[in-house]
Amino acid sequence: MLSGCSDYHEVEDLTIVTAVAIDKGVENRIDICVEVVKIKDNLPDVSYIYASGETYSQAVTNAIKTTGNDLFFSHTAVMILSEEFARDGIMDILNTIYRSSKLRLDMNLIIAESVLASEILTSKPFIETVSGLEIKDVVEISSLQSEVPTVPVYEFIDMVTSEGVSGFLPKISLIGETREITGVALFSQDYLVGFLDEEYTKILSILLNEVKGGVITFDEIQSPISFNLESSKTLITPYIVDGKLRFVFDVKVKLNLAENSANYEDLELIETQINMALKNDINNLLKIAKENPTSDFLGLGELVYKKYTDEWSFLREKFEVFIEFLEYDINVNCEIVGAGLISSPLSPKN
Amino acid sequence: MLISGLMSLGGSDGAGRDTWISAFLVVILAVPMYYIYFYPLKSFKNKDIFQIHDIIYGEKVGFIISLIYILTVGLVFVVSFARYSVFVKTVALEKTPILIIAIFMIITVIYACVCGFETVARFSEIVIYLIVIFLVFTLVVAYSTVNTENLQPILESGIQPVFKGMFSIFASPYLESFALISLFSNVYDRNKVPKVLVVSTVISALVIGVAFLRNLLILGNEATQSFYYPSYQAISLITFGSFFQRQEVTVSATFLIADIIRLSVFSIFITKGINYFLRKRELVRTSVVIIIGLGLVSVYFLGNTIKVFTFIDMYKRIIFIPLVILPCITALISLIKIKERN
Repeated sequence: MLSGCSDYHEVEDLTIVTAVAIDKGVENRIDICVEVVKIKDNLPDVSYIYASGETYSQAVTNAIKTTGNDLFFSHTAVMILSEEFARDGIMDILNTIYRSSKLRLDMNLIIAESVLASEILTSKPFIETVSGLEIKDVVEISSLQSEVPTVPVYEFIDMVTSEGVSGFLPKISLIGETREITGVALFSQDYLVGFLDEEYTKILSILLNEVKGGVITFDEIQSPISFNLESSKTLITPYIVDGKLRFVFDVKVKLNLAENSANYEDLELIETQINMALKNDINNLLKIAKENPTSDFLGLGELVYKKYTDEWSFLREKFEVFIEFLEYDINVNCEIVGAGLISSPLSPKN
Repeated sequence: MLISGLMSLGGSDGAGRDTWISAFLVVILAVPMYYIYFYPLKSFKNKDIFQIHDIIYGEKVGFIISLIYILTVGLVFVVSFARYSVFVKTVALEKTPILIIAIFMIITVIYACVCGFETVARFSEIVIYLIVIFLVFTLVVAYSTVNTENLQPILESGIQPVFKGMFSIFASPYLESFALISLFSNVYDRNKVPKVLVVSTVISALVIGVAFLRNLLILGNEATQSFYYPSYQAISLITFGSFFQRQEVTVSATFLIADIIRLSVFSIFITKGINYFLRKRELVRTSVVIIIGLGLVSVYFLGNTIKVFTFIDMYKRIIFIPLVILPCITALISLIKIKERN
């Protein structure tokens, strides 16, 4: 304990970093914007430091020069990367995070779509005083609503470095002056290659067994109908038959009726309709997967690798072609298991 | 002794994703080896390992064999000391010079060594509960962080890498326990030693195997193999609500205490050996000189993570000769001598 004196810091002297935004600068430099919080009169005082460097570490060193205090990164909640920066590959940043004993591996990574990451960070918070903490809360609540999966650094690195799976990260956009989580950004290795919108991100959550609750609405049937997602279990099984690779998607979803005036006698018919609607949505998502063969965001390659480990060595070389001409069957079984607190829908008297 | 090596176990032990299987299977190698270590002590009652070398090899060869063991345990001390001082500097006290960390570790080890083997043993009896409690606690609360997909495919490259990993784990920490078993000439009842060896090896293999499994399930295969200290990183990700976070601090503190025990055992072994050669019974001065000397050598030559972990790969091969081949020869000659005597 005594030997720790050299690393001793007074809490009042710490410049706590809550979020970092990284943009691509001129001549391939890295521009960073660091949100720092100092406690003054028991209230957080938020300020932003801009710096630039050849590397992220040099940019951070340049940021320190302006504060006069060392930056304390252990409470950094989110790191926002701009779309332009992420398209050039983010492995250097990921390695820096893993090397550092200061940055936390459970920090959330987010991609800023069509806007600078620093603009997202410095836009006015809605409720909180500190933007970084609000963005973290927004991502977490979106995850609980199954709107978008949260991807901490260590999970993303696990995806990027694993055999047969590509990573994805939540994306955030600026709509007017409001920040909004609008889906996920898709990666091939560590390069950003595309985006998936909100409506498909929920389907992605279902296929990846990431459902934690929230509402799902079907508007393709007679009138829009909303359900609370109770649980979801998807089994994706690869088969090699006569040298051809085929996937079977077995999706089981349990739903609670949230908003519709349908009679309970019609529930069976509604189940059939939402089975069709969900199957259609999954089909559309798989079409997107086929259009982006370099990003195996569903982890289909990983499933083949685990089931057909011996065959994987030659399948991996042309797996992009397999995805491009993906053959699959979809079995959907939606079950309405509840209707909230009422036994029959209320209806006005004639 | 065995479990305290857990924190410093790296992820790249040759078996990749299947290292946890190697950690369980290591019992097959460790139990017979420990019995080979103990056999001469059992055969020659009231004699310590250095006296036994003189009896079975003669004075001159016995001296050389004892010297080889002292130098090997010295090397084990240097590596263990470096591994832990570098660990503290890398993960927690970045701005503190490593010499400062080393000085305080040296003072603690000298104190433990001067107190004697029995005090160290009784202290470790307390610490083992702390380690097991922390390990069980982290396992229970890790349920929401683990990803069982990381486990597959099992035995992807066949059984050969599992054996490679088994030998790597066997070298460190199992072979390093030679010093401890050689000190069992001091125990009151030598008949209980084989049972103690089997039980402790099984417990440690379980603990180390489960720890490897936990690291793999939390971090994934690639990250587990990349990190110098995967256990520390895996535990840092385990949270229990918003209250229990960053438990790695308490866990690393516990493991550091355990490491002091480990280093104390090595220094007691070296001190006893040197005292035997010098025909001295003085413990304090000898141990102070040895611990300071080895501690400073450790920091000077292996003062950063790259140096330590590059050396460990080589070191695991080096210690096989003195800690596997020589004890086997010693046990064999002891067996022949006993038969001749009977």
